[in-house]
Amino acid sequence: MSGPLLSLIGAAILYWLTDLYYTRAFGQVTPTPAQARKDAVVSITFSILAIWSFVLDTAEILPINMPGVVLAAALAMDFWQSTRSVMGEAITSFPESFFASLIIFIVSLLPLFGITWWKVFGFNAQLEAMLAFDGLVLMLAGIAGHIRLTRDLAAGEAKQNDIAL
Amino acid sequence: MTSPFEELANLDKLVHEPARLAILTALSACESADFTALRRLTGLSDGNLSVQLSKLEEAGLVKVQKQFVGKKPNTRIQISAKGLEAVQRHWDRLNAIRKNAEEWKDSTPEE
Repeated sequence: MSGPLLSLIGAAILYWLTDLYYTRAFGQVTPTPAQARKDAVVSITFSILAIWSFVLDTAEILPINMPGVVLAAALAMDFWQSTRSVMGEAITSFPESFFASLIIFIVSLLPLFGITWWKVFGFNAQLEAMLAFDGLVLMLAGIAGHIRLTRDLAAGEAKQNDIAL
Repeated sequence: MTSPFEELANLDKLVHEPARLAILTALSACESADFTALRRLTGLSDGNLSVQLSKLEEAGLVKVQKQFVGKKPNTRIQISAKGLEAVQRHWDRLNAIRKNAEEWKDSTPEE
């Protein structure tokens, strides 16, 4: 089996195990049909945009990293959707999506200013380096999101457990 | 106009109790949720959540469905149309009371 195929299988197993862990530890919530439709539209739209940006980035020499810009937009959309109800304290409530979006957006624009940062890390292709960077940021954002979620829920548990029957 | 204190005293106690209001509010934002998700969201203990769900089910505000997912028992809870109406009406009333309380405070002469 080739390396990329093994990575794909490994990622799929990891995704399945993570999903299983979250279902067991935090339970499952079924969205309303309206929410499910909206999520599907957002997912399909950003999937099409991601493929388009990848094709564009490999076919043309662009002054910016287009997949990075699309990913930043998707994360910004996720941030906006998650924080609509707490706009007054949005950044403190869900900081990881906001900062991940901002960092990826800034790094995507660096080539525009002649900054070839990927060469410093030994990458020849900007796209390859950007994909690795995106993966790293998403992984760190995921860890931060997990810590925030478990802390928030634990605090709620401590606060609410004294409610009388 | 009734005072905000009378309105507060007349609130539907079945819905207004903090644990039950938390459960109904959480359920009103989704199609359904399982027991674990509700426990995590509301921060209630297993026993307290069970008791509150039984009361809400008896009143017809939620539907509780027990099933097996694989070999594990799973309890799914869904808000009923009556429950959705009750929680929305309750939040509307609380907002109105809050407004009324602010007006009452402004109209009270300072000593």
